Amino acid sequence: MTALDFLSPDRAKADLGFSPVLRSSMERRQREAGATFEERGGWLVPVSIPGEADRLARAGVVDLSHLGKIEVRGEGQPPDDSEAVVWYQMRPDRAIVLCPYRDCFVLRSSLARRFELALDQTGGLGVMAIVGPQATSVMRRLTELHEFPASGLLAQVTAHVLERGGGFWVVFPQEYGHYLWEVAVDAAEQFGGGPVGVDAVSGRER
Amino acid sequence: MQARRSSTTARAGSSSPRDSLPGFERSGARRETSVPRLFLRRRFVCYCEDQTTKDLKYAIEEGYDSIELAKRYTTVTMGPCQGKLCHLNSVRVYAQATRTVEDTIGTTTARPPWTPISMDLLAGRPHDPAKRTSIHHRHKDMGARVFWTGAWRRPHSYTPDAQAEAQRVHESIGIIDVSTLGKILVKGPDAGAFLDRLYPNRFSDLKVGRIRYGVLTNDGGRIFDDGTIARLSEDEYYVTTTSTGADAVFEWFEWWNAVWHMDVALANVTGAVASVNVAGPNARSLMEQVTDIDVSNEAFTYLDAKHAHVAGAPALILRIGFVGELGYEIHFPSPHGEHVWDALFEAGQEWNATPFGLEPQRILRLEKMHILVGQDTDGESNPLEAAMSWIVKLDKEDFVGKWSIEQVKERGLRSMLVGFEMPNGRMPVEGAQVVVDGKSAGRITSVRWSEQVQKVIGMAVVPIQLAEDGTEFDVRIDGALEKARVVTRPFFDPEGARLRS
Repeated sequence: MTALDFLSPDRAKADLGFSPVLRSSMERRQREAGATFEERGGWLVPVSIPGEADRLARAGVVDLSHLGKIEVRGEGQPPDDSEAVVWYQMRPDRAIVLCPYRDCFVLRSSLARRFELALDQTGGLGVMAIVGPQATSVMRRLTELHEFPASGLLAQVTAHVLERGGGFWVVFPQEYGHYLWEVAVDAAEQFGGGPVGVDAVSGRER
Repeated sequence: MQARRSSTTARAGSSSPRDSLPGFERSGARRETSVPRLFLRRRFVCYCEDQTTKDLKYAIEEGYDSIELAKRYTTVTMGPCQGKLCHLNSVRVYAQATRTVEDTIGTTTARPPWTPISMDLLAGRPHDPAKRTSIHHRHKDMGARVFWTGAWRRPHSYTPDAQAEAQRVHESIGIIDVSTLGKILVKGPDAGAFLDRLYPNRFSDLKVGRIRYGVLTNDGGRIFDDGTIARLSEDEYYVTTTSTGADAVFEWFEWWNAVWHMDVALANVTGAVASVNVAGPNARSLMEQVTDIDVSNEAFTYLDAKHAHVAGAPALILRIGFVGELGYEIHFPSPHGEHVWDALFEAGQEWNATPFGLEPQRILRLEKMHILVGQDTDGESNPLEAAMSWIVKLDKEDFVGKWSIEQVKERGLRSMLVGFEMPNGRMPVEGAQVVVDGKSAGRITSVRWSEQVQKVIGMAVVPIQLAEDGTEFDVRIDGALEKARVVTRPFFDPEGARLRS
């Protein structure tokens, strides 16, 4: 292993051919909501939650923490569309890259050649999507940010918020996952929404 | 603040008769209604800044006759709501007092945040963020009593008997979740030189794969954090900080990096990495079961840092010990938290491995006289008077706080952080006075009963002349003075044989 490999959960598969199960910081709350889990690419993913169809018609809260997350420093050539990533430029010399977890290892290696630093933050960041017709109303209850993408306080936690397909993706320090899931679901419930499984939403996040 | 003070003073000495204020009669007339007098005594215009109609009217009387001037004088509309709740109120009072039309007065300038907030949001749930480690729920499953430490929720202990938990670490194996430790990567050609400038000791000469303890001082030479620094490669260092100091230390590093323009990249990986400390005389046996490297004392010596897989998870293992026993601190990706935790207990069944919380950890570290920054130090503590002169390398060209520490050395040490024991077994409270010649001369910083050494032990700041083994000093307990005896070497395993075993 190289010096920073211990930050990358995918090293286990690369080194040993198997990966111990990876869990999101929001898993317990989803279990309490009756979620069904499947292991996908090493992650325990909440694929469905009872009653999610009704909630999704209003405001759904989805855990996307199983995405790969890479922090990129310095100036270089960003990935093109064929690399299937979400690129959020936080500052001129700093970006967050979200990608399917299965692609994380290859993409990180590729970015490391192009940039000063490509750091695996898969374990450090949580991702939560807020989707549905009432997603904007839910966001208004959580943050004063109103133009996206943006970084700032969401329920008093520093987070990055991206607008994606009529909804929002919130990227935040994973240690706040349990808390943020609770407040986001609470806000969504005010509009008849609530927790939703990953399979209820479409797109590459699945 | 100045404006508010002067406003208050002016009001106190004002001779303006209330009756002369325009509009007062109308207010008086309202008193005839059925509204209770309590609500008529003060009528608030600005709820954030506690400004009343009277305050605003006096300001106008005193010549602050535009809404902007009145704002600066009284602070009306200057609170967190930035006028959302008080613009209309203040404009109406102003219009009434100056007999002008409301529409012509305008409003004061609101500054961010200015987004309108709906009433239902103001009435919504409070946002009180809590940090939890990736192993948090396992602690709850195991019966941990969880409490707040800064923004973190952490296990205090897993049983009502913290002493017994501490003893199990001495007897076999204890496992503690230390994921809350701050973790910072310092990477780049200048990484060693950068750390040399920040810490009073040296890191540029640290060998790859080795660890050194460091204490951070501010410009005033005061201790503000501590932790270990491991050199991972020629240009990569892994810095750990205290749990509550992580964000402040990272900010401190970034600030100095911006000042010095050194070729260094910094990354806060506190949340990305979970950490577990396996400690106790049987810790090596357990580690042999879960790792793929040689963990013998010859191959993996005290203060070594090695890469390995632990239960399949990629990990950095630091051979350090805060609790005085043979210990391995395992750092690995957070999403593997529960997997690694479970694997350690499964492998540790043979040695009856048990979890331990922060309270047993505090007892154990006290037995070793390891300081807790913020507990045994305060905003005035410097390394020389905290018994850490060995860490200060004044022969270095410079480091943050060097000049101030030199001044402390030049003026002479006045106090010292020492260990103490209570011969009569009575236990002072933390913060109790150290009394010399009837006067307060220091304080108790930490104190616990230790089952291991069968004594009440602690740490205290005492006058320098008392900082010698065997010296006695008085401590105030429940109003009475009790004798305490100075101990300058660790209460348990003073040679560190178990740590290095």
